[in-house]
Amino acid sequence: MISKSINLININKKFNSVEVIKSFNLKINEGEFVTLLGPSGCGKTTLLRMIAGLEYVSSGEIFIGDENVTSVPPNKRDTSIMFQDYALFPHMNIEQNIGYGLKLKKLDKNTIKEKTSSWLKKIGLENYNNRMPYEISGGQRQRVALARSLIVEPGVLLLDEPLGALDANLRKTMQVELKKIHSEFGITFVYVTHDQEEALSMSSRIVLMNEGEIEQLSNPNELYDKPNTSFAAKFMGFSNIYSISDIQLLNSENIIKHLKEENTNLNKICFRSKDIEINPQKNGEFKIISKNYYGDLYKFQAINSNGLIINISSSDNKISNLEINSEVNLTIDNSKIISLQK
Amino acid sequence: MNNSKSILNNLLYILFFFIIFIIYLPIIVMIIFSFNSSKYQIMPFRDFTTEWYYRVINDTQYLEGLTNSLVVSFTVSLLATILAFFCAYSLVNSNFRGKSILNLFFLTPLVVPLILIGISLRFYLSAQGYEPSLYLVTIGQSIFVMPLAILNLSNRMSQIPKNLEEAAWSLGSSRIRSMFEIILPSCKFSLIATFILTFTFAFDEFIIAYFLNNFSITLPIKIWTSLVTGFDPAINAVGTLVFLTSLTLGLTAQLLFMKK
Repeated sequence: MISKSINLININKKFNSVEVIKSFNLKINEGEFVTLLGPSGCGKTTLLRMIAGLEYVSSGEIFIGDENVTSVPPNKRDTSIMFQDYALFPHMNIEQNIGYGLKLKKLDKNTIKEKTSSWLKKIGLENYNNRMPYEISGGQRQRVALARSLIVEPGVLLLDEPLGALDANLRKTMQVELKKIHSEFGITFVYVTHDQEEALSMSSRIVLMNEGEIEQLSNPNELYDKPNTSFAAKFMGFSNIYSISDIQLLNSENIIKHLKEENTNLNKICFRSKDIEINPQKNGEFKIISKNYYGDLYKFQAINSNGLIINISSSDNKISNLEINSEVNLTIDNSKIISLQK
Repeated sequence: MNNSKSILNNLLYILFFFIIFIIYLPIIVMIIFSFNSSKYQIMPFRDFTTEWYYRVINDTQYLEGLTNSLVVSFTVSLLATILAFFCAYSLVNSNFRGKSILNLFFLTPLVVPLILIGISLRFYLSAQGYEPSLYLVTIGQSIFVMPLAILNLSNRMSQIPKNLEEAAWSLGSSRIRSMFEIILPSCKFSLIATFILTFTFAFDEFIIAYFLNNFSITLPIKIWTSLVTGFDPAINAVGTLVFLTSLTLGLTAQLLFMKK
């Protein structure tokens, strides 16, 4: 299979008068696994549909490989899209579904038969060729949809929340499967999801989107460890995000020292709840106000005399004895505090 | 409390059957008299006979009317179903300014009095130099049943998920191809049902057929002329046959719509 690059140049998209994509620029290299991550309504699916040719761009240009495909219809683009609900053709059996793309390429019947049966084998459904889509399970449908998309050997595979309809266990298995298939075929994957864990576990790069713009573009561990903005931090699960004015409410030596060392144009800071050390102490600065159990960890909220609330989580057994109204002191390693641009 | 509720329920039940009975009473009377040996449509019921049915079957004029009606209705429903398929496809899949107004235009023949369609078509087509004939009846009745066909088919098509076709395009299918290979099979039952429904409507239609026709007769025209020229008990037999056929076809269409 020949993998293709994607280049999005200054894309704008308006639905009526609503701007859903704003001057979007992105270059995706051949063979990359790029995830478009963001909350619903951020424009990630629209962007994917524009790459597939299912949606017009209002302005801007799309290149797939060296070809400008901005006004090329979807059937003439070297892309294949896979939908969340799989969109299997209900009147065709599994074999016909998988072979449909080859039939369109006017391959002869024997070649189609050969290729589809090798794919049926690959996805572990070799005895299911005569079944109809409604006669197989969700996970099996998902694999059929994947085979149907990959059998035409596209340069780019576009995936629109393909695991969204599966249960949690199956989703984990399929994440591993998809990653394997990606490295096996080496074609470019563009993957849309709102699930940060999915994005982190599979992608080579993540495009975090917010209101039609790129919020942050980086590789997974960078995004996880060093978000640039409070939006990115929140999306990556940082539960403690504070502006400078919030921090004034903090008497804690440790954090204040860090802030004084930082330059003054800094807007906000954040830190993970698990990076805070809890020291139970009579007359401590903070008082515990909530405690929740999550299996492998406890989550607490602590408040100080100025009303500043800090979220803490811990898997330490000693800490689990803490009750509401216990008094504690909190410390944090300076290196765990991340400065945010906005 | 439960008791009064069940009494109310029973009353509604009785009312329901009473209304059904009133609606179907004339037809029931017609069916009964189609087996009555008396020449007049009056009680008491004389002897049981199937004579009128024999008369109808052996009457060349009824047969001619029936044949014409069958041919015209078949053509009309075929034409209307095919055109409506494309029409519904474009209505469901496009989004442009004024679409809802155009939609309304497609459906107006349903509310315009039939007699207006008949008269206007007659005047217009005569002015164009066309002689009234069964061909004109076919055109007129197609206009009459098209809205029904469009309604039925666009109703079904709007239930088909958009991304079925999108998946086909992304696999390399052209728009025309996906319309025939993805949408058409998904509308299979609705297409058959629409065909049957428009067939029964065209088969029963009288006004347009009467206005756009000179000498050929359709079954409804034949029935009407027999009534005008004096009562013929064979009408009851014809009516019964037509009613039973329409009922069967109508029920089949309903079942097919439910199957999607």
